[in-house]
Amino acid sequence: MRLLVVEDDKDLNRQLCSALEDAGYVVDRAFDGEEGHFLGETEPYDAVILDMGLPQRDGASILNAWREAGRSMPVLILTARDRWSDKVNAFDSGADDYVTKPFHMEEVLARVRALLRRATGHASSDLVCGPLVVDTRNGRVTINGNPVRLTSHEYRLIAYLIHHQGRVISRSEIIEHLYDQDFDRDSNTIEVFVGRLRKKLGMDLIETVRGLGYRLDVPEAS
Amino acid sequence: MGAWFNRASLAQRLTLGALVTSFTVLLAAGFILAQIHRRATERAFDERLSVYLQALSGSLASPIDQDRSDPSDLGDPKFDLPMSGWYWQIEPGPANSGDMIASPSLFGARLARIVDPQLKSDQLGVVQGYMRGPDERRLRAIERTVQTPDHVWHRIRVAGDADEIEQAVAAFRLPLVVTLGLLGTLIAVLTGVQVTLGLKSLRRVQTGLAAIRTGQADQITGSYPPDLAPLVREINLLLESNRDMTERARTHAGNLAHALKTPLSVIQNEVQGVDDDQAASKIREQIAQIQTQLQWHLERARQGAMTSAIGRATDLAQVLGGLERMFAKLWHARAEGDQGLTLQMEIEAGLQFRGEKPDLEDMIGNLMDNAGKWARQEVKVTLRRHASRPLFAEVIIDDDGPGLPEAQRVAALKRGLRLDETRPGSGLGLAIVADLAKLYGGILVLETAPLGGLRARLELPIVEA
Repeated sequence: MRLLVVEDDKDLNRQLCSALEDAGYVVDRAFDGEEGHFLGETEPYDAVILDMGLPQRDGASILNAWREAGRSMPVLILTARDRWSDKVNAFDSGADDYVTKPFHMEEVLARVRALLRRATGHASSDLVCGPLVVDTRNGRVTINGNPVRLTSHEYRLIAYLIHHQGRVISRSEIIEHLYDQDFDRDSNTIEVFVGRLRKKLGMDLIETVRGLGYRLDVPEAS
Repeated sequence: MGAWFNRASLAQRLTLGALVTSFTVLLAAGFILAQIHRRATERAFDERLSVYLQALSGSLASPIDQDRSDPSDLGDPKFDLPMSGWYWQIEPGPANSGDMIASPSLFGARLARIVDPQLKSDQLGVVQGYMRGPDERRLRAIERTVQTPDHVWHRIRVAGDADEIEQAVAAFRLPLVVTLGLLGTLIAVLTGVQVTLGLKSLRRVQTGLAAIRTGQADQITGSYPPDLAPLVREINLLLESNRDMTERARTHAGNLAHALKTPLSVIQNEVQGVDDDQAASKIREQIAQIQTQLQWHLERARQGAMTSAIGRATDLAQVLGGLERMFAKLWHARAEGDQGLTLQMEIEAGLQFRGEKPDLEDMIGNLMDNAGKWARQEVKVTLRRHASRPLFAEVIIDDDGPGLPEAQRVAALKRGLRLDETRPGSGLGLAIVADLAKLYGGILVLETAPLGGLRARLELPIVEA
């Protein structure tokens, strides 16, 4: 899952990014309105955390521009203003949820989790695919109730696949959503991680669709 | 007098000024009229006397040897009655000898000299004036010196009762006083009417200001006379700049909050991971305090701004529409289960809240937020005109949550007066709403909802469409 954090305060931006990275997301960061707007419009993010008061261009106008350009990723608003009028305006611009400053980091993480879940049509934070269960609240992965230890990269991959289970996902889509902008797109890393996952999960959950990509699905009983 | 004048109303001052002036003028006019009348009466009296004087001098003019007409025969019985007040007397000049002739009415007495003689202008050599008669009666007299054909000088003096003049003057005085009195009364009444009419425009300004204060208008409207129009214009400009200042104050307060809250977030997150550190827990505690202070003062500024901001009307249905869109999305996004909360809205259109939009949004937003926190499946919002209270609307927010026991409802609406008691959270939200509603003259009532949970009923003043 690849996220964008647009926050002009350098410290807060750093804290948000490291907390989100610790939770297993890939995070791009922007420090002003123009940069944030550009990244959000050009890169395929799964969710955006957007501060309302930004230099150069304020959050509401960025959000409006994204929505008008047809960008529909869920957007979590960070705002210092606790009046409902500000929130109503933000929602009318296309926000999906808000967190009021000063906030606890867990709150942001919970909101992001819920937004991602809702965006991919999942009601619960436990994502299930046959015997495989991924608990997005704490990053725990189990097969038939037995915990599986995954590295952060492996977790990102399986989390993205299980969010979009049943759909064929191309290699480039995986790269776009699992790595930040600077990732070397020609490397073989994805094949390596898929191989490791198959080994750890021990089953044929991840199917290779030749020429198209990968698909996570409940194996058909044979 | 000076102190009274400073305390007196404009109407009192204008009335007093007009009355003093007009009564002074009336008094002077009365005095002058009386004087003119007295002069005219005196002149008419003198004319009568001079007729007698001429008759007497005519009788002297005939030659001595001829049969002189009897001067005593003036054809007026007044001169025959003793002490009638009407007398004549012909006395020979000082250089001449001869008898003095007098009217029978003098009864042997003599007429004194005129006290303060004045030359009668239209008849040569005739002198007029007042004198004391033989019976101490006041007389009006004229006299003249004539020379008979035998070169003897005579002084002729004719006198009449001055009472007649005084009576005529007195007879004139009554109608004069009555007429002027009536005129004075009329002027007083007219002054009163004029002052009332003249100050009517001022009263309209006052009514306009009252309408602004009570929120029925945001400007003084209507046309005013040219001398009041600039005042009205200035008041309107003042109101406008007042609103601008309010807006600026709010913006500043908001900016201050934003400026402080971001670093607060940073500090808070920085000490979050550190659990057992004493310094960290101290910092966390202080952050909580700063946060409470911020919220408290922001709200104070907001409420201060609110009471000075006047004359706003906000469409209730529109505000509820915005909140509906937001909460529907929010509750869907935050829902842990499949369904999330359903939000039902029942809105009567066309109701205008008498107050500021952000305050209305805060009140209803807080109540809906609170309902969403406790509801199991459903929140219902109803907006309607108040059934029994005219010029009030009702916003009812029901949830199907656990509700609030009656004993805790009062406490939920009460805000701790000490700062450290006002923690942000579910409790403070309701207290803020109750305070805001009260400031606008409305009320927040907590009841039991038909859905089973809490019903928050907000009664708010509306503007008559």
